[in-house]
Amino acid sequence: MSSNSLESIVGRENVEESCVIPGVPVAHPVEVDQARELFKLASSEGQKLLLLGKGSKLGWSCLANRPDFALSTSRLSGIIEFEPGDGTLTALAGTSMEELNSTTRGAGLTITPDVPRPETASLGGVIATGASGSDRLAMGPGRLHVLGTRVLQPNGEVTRSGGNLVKNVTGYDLMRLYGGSFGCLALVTEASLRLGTVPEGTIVLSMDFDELETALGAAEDVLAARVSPRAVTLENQLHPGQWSLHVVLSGRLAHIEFELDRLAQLLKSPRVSRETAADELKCRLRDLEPDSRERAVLHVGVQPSRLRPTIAALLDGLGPSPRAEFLLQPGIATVDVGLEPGSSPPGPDTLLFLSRTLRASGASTTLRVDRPMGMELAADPDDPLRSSLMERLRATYDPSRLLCTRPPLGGLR
Amino acid sequence: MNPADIVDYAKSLDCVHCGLCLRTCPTYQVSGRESSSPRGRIHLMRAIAEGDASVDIHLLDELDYCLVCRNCESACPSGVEYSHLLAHTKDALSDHGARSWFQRTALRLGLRHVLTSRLLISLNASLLRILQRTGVFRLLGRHLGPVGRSMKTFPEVPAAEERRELQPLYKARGKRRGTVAILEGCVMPALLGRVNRATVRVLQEAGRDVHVPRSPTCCGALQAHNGDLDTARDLARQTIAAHESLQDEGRTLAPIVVNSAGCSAQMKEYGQLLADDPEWKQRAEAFSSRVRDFSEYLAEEALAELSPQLNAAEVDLPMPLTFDDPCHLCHGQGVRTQPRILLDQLNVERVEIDESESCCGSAGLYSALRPDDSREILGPRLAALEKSGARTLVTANPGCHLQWQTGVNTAELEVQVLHIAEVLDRALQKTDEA
Amino acid sequence: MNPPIVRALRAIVGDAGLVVDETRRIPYECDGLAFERQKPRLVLLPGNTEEALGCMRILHEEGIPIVARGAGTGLTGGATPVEGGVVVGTARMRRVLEINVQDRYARAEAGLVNLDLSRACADDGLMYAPDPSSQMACTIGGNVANNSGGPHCFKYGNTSRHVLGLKIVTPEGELLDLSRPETDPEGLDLVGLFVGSEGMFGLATEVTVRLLPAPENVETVLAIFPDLDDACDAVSEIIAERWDPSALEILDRLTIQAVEASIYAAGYPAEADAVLLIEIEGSRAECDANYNGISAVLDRHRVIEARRAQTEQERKKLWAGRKGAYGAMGRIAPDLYVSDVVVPRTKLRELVRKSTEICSEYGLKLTNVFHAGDGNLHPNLSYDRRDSDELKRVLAAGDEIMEAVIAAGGTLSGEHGVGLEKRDQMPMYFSQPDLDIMLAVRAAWDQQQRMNPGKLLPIRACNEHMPFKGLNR
Repeated sequence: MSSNSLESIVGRENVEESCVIPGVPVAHPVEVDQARELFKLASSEGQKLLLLGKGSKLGWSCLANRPDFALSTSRLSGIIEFEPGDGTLTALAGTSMEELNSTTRGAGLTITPDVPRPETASLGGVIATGASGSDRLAMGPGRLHVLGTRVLQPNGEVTRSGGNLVKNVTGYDLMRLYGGSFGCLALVTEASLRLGTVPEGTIVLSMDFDELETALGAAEDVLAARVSPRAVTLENQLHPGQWSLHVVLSGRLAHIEFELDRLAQLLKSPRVSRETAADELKCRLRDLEPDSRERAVLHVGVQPSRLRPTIAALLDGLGPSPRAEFLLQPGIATVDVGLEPGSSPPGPDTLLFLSRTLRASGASTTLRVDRPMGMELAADPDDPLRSSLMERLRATYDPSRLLCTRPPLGGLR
Repeated sequence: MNPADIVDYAKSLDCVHCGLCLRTCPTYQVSGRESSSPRGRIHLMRAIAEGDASVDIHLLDELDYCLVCRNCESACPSGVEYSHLLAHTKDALSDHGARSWFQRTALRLGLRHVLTSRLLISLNASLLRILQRTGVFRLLGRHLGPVGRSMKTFPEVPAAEERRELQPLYKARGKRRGTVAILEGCVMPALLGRVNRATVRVLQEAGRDVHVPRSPTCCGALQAHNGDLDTARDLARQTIAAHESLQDEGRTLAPIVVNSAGCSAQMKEYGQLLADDPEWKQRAEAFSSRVRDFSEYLAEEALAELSPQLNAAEVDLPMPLTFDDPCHLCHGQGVRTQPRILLDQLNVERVEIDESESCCGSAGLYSALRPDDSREILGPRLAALEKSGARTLVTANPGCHLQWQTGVNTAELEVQVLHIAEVLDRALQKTDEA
Repeated sequence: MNPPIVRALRAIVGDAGLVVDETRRIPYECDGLAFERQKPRLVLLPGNTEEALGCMRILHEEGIPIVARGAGTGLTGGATPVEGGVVVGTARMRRVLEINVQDRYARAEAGLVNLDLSRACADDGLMYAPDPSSQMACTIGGNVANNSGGPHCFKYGNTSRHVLGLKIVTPEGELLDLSRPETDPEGLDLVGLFVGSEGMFGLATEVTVRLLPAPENVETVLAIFPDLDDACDAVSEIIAERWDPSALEILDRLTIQAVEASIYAAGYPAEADAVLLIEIEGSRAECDANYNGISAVLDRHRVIEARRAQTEQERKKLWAGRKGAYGAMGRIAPDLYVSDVVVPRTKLRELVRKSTEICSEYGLKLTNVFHAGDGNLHPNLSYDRRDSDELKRVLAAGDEIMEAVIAAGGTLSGEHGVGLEKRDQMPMYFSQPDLDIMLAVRAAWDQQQRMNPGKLLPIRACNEHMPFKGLNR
């Protein structure tokens, strides 16, 4: 694809020579009509199109075809409507999560998901990748807070589903379909979110452990206690070989003090951070999730009761003393393993083997790297009916295979 | 017949089709069929009245399938008078040709002539006892299919001594605190005479003179539930007259205490039943206002007198104990706490069984007319009884009493089934001994 | 129905699973929306997923349209049979299959009554959060089809936020097993898409739902207002001040009167123009903080009295009144048109007032009982369907209310779904391309469009039975 035709649509200043995939130029439309023109261009010239937001999670996806050019929503940004009294917000897809946070924070409202490094993530990208954040234990997965979307379909139509109201069952929930679809169906151009409330205060309890086993035990005790933490996080990043447990309590002041009392009886002399220190620590914990642009990350999710066997299988599969940092969130039963930068990620065979082993213990695994992976990692079609339905849905939106990204697992070939 | 006469259309319009009754309905629970639910039956009645459906054997079957437990009335926010609607339609269709002649005649004979005659009931009971004692019953049971199966486990008819009639008057024990009349009933003397005697003794202990008027054998509940409102009205008039003639020091007796929930519910509704009879309307209303269920009366009027004795009693019953609400007590009369208050005077371990307000499947003649359905409805209740761990089940209605007894026998559970009067009587006799 | 087909179906479901005779089919002609009626050709009541699979396979071979039915408590005609179609009911599939306390989920058959699921996990200190007012009758499967809400969805969200997995019998009679709870969906979120699809994608026979720990304390406050406007404003301000009650429900004067006359009489004062039911949950500290904060808001809005329920029994009674309110309207007139719209929560008063004006113009009896915290209004119009003019006026008023709601930035349905009732109003909210893609997605699930045809999506003469053509439509 020559940059010229892209420039003619979006202007020279909005075209980059190359994205993370060498030789693939990126167009940054500044309005939806330009995006539509780009879709038309690709369609009429039979070219393949890579959709991205700010590109920070591009390496979470798989590529079905090599793209001819990329379309980024990063300059399709701005807040369309913010209704503090109604607790909702609508913004263009390229708006950064940081901008959303700072817009709402002043009105005492918050954005879910509270993703790491929000300045590098766009609203559309977060929706397309199905990302959740450090508030998942308290607020649930990010996808459940999307009230409605507007998308640009490969056929050039802009369509809407849901709306901007906190409660709405009118029509099918197509926005649920776009969440985690990795841009294989349509381009999210705009979305509305349900907002949360900025807590009155935050307290973080921290404790160090020499053994993963005891650290996990303590985390489980916290989760079994009648408290409702915002996050329970286990990390081994700061002091290799040593595990730190952090319990983030947030809410009304009287309530978190009450929960602190309850936990103080359970945990042996934890360090307690309050106010500014707590906010800073909360931010650091939010950003603990390893950045797939810097290192290969294995992301594992499982039901809580299967967390221990999953960790065992993971350690077993990665070999003795892997050079990796671990982020464990026992409350939501996820494990992120950030492999040492520079060390080569496990090959497809190892990974598929690991993924299957983990699946046997009830876990699902995805690899996140710095650029889209090949389709060999995309599929583990254990259920042909499910795969074929997904494929029919994909083909409904994109019959001529204009879009080249796919979700990493689940049989979309 | 004019469709409009079959259905009390005006009252059927109270239903807005919300469906809150569905889960309470035993026959819907068992069958999952909308047509076997209160909402479905009302829908059918309306369809008949509006000319969108015609009466056929399927409709009659759905009407007969209903237990008239009235659980739906306890759930209905619109206050639909379901049992009234059903009684009206069943009455209008009692002689409908879709049923066989034999069926119609047998039911009519039973309702009009057997249940109203103490002699015939007594003869039947004697015959039944002979069949049971001689083993003919067990033998027949093996060959008669579903009817036979329930025959085998039907509680044994007591000896003639047990079945003797009550005297006209029993004097209060200790200080006399009042006078009551009771209803002896139809099935009660024949099969559960001991309950009637226990009832009298408890009332005596509470300081009541107890009158037993020679009223007609049956209060009319079974007729009203089975599509014979005319006979039910006749019996109501006779019952009212019998009680009116009873006087105490020149005044008409006030409370009529009834130990069978199905009968007390019916007698409380005489006013409504005879509403269209100008001569009887007021008398019926006055009568109905005097009727109290046994446990309702004791808990509300005689608790102070009985409480010390009950507290002191050592009850010799397998524990824990549970109270199963007869439908016509809880749904028909809203009496729920009173029996529990009485039992809790006893210092016994009392547990609740799941869905205690759900029908046991007895439902008057239902267990005899539809034994298979009756047993199917009892099934989950038996399971709940077993789960509760209760060893004594207390009830307050003869039909429920016999149904539970049959069920417990069949399932071979070690559970004693007693009427609440029997439980109180035993406790009071114990304190007397002491 | 063709006897060989009935025989084949009977062989699968047995006599108990089949309703053949015409009389017994009549009550299936409608759901909670009583003025839309169509008798089904046959009703099937499979006892488990296996039987449902067998039935659906035969119906597929014969090309027979299918309408799924739970308890038939839906209010938009979602379970109204279609001409020549068969009803497949879940009323005999109501077992709790698994309660996983550690992983906090439950698996149940689709016909399980909502309340029974909550009861089944109560002993483990868990609860299933969505609580439609019909929860004592409606089924989990029906909740999935409509993405049902309820008072506590203010805090917890509609059904969709609580469904983790499904077992779906496809229109072709194959088993799509999505019942394993997953942290995040692998590939496309089929479960999330299916919830709220109003029975048009397939038949859900088994549902896996998230369970939540039951709150430590639950408090209910009954706030009594001299004026409905004040109650609405108080709610808007509670939201704007970001207090976190778990439910905010308003009942107006006529509703109060109907409820108080019913067996669900809750002690709502007859002199009030409106009552606001407020539920607060959490630790003692949270409850107190919220109570104090909310009380201050109420005071600013001329509350006559705010009663904190003193006992669990009193609390339950207050709620029973709310949940029985719809049925209690039978005391006003034989039929009831239950509307279900959502407006921005800043515009509660405006829209409640507007719908009152519209109804008085049409000379109709309006009652308001609604999930105020979500902006989910239920303007209920009482009527008598034998009076065809009144029914016409009800429908016209309903349309006019809807127009006002849409103009104010609202939407067609907050929890009841679209069904037949609002199908033709869909173009008020969605553009033709919006509806086209929905139709196309539906075709991806149900290529022959045999599942609940004619619902939700307005019928366009030429495209109803045409597969989606993609780019060049």
